[in-house]
Amino acid sequence: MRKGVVLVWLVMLFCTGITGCNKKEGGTTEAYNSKKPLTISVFTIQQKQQPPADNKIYKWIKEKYNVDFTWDILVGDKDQKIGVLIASGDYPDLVEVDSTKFQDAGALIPLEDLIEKYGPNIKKHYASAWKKMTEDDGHIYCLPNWGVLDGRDQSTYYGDSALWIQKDVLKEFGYPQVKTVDEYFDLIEKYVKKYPAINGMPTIPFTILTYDWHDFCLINPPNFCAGYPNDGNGTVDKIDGKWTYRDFLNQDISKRWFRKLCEENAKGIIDKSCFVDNYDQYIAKLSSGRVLGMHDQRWQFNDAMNALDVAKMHDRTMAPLPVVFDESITPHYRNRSLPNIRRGFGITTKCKDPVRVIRFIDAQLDEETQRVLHWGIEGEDWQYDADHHPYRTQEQRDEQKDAAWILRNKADLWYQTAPKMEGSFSDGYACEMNYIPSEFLADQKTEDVELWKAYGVSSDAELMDRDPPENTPWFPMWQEVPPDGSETQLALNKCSQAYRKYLPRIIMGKPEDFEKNWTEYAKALDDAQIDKYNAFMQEKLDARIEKYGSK
Amino acid sequence: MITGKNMYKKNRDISAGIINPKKTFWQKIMKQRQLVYMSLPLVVYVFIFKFVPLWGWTMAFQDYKPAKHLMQQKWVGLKWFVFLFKDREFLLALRNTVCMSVISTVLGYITAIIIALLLNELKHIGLKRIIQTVSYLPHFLSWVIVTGLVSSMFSVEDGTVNNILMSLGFMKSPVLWLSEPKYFWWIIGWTYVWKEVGWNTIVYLGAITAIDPSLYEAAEIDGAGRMQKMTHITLPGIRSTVIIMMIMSAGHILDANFEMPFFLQNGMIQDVAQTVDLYVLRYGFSSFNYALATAAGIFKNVVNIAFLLFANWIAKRSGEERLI
Repeated sequence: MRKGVVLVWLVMLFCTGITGCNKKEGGTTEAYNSKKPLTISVFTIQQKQQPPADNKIYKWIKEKYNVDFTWDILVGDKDQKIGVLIASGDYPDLVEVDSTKFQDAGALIPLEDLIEKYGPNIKKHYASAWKKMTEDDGHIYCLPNWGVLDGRDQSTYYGDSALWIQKDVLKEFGYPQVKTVDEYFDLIEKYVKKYPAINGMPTIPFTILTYDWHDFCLINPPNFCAGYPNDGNGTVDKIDGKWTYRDFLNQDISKRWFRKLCEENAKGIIDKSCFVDNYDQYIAKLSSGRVLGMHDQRWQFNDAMNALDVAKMHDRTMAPLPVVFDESITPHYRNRSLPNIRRGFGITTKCKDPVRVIRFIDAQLDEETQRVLHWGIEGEDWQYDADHHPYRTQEQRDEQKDAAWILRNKADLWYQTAPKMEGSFSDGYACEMNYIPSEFLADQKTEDVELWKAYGVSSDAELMDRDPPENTPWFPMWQEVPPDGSETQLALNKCSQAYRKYLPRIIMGKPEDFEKNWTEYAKALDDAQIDKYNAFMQEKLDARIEKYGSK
Repeated sequence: MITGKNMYKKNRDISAGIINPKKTFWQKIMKQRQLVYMSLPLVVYVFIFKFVPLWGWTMAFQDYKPAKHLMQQKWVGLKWFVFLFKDREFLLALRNTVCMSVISTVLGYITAIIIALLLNELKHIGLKRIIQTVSYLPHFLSWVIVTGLVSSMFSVEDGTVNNILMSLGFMKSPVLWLSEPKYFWWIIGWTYVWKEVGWNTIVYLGAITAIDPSLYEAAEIDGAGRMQKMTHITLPGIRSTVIIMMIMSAGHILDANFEMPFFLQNGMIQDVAQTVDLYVLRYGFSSFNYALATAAGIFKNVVNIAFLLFANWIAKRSGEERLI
């Protein structure tokens, strides 16, 4: 027994000796050390499925970098889950940041020093956005997931706000020019008169998504129709020589839009049940191909568009239009690419080896890995043709849209939120293979190509705006969110209760009652103390102008 | 048998004050120790999970920020309680909760008792079983499913309710039922009844079977008809059960069903649909304002306990069964 105990002690001493004598990792430009395995635990708010263990790209990452991931995927209410995570203090290594909650709770570590020492690629990639990424306390807590471009922007995707219209409506009337709100609704009315039913079910001319936090679809249209970009719940104008922020809820532009909706409702154009539907019911309506028009942002109804494609009803999918109130207004729907500040991964205080994590993120920013993450494995997901031009076969293109295939063959959860190359690779090809012109047009449906040709453009993005104007220095104001528990947030909450209550009444009311209903609504907004929100945003606007200058 | 010797022993002992006729508390416990052992784990569980977390009530008196220690929090006294009672929306939520709760409970009682009485009159055992089983099946559905059903039944697009009413000629065009404030509480009440009446009936049926059958026979002899038997024997017989159940419900008056208003709420009926729980969810949890949420929770607790004790006291005063 004695001998056994001594032996055990000797072995233990030996082991501690070995590990203790390992040279501490130092140096700055040392290559990523893939000898030790690293498991990164991640909390993500993307509501997707867990990737299977045999996922092709995660295996590739494991082979190359000896890194694998454990995912804590959000189920249920995002704010509640984040609240519980913060209250417990039990953070994983990385969390997906989408607000100031984690930062305020002191859960994130500052990254700028780590990046300076161990992340040269990261520093280079974010050079243009470095100032905006730095918070007021001088630290960087989050690595933006999208919007920081390397090289030329070749995107053909338009995913922002627009007044969407069913492609068949445009086709039916020979692809007319639809520039104003009146023209938009006239076209829809004409189509509904001609086709009161689609596939046996009644046509829905115009619907609105009003459920829960999606209700920005209800209040946003006037902002864009008046030619303002997306600055949150208000507009920035130069009033008396000073840049002023005013919420648009009670401006004339909103009154104009909702008066139009009220008139359209009297003609039976507005889908009445949209005020009680939830998000799933909205998507279901869109997926049935009966909806002719709505105002929304593309990423919100992506599922419906995919469902229509699966059902081979591509002519019933939606095309975006930059509609404004009248010809005198220049539309400003599309913007130049913006770094998606405060949205991306942050490293938590509970991460045991932040240096290795930064090293890994830095290493995966190299072109070869990025090509695998974006395009896939050469020979399996894409290949070069005889002219050394990358292309995909039709089968490979279909795979890229199949959710089940993506789950097994793309590192989607990591790729969507991690720092990535965007724009173009060094060989000139777009980072997103879909944007390579030959790939893009080959993969488009004939209806789309026809539509774009009729309007003289080559993509949805160009349809909205061929060359968007430069962003104002303070853009986008929607990033300024009132801090939790503040009076401003309370005021905003009460305002949302007010507009959720009165706007449906205004729209569904009689046109004669419009003025009366609007006055009631305006009073409710005042009672909700919306000027507190305006004061807060003005303060933030002034701070931004000071930091980044004004036009 | 008290023999001569024992009789005198007992008297002697009593006068000497040796025999203590009352057992002490601990002696009683020791005598019933098996029962105590059986209930001990549950008591510990209740203590750990229901009483120990009550220290969290301190959150209601602070400007609580998570991730900070108890000592680092800022104490603000009754600020959040004052805020609640000044907020018109909270008072509306309070009104909604009480109304929905009362409507659901009252409807629930009346229908459960009526159905229990009617089922009791049924002589055919097979039919009785079938009806009972079918009626309590909805109890096992989750509220998510039930609200989905309600939502589609009342929709303007091909909803069953609208279809039936239009085909019977009562209306010309479909009505958006879920957008009208005046219908909402009744929709909630009757949906609750549909879901829970079968389950609640079980309790009353059980109570009815406990009534002495000889009473019925005596009534039969006295020439009582069916209705009279019901009103004079059955109803009084289950009175004590009904009262106990009512006292228990009184303790839940501010606990209106959470899921139904949550899923069925929308902008147009929010004035009547928002309950205290939904208010707390919106202004407490989603805004990260845990102090407010806790304050509302404390208020609910206090009111519920007060109502429970009040109902119990009334029952005691009227000589009825009581819970406490």
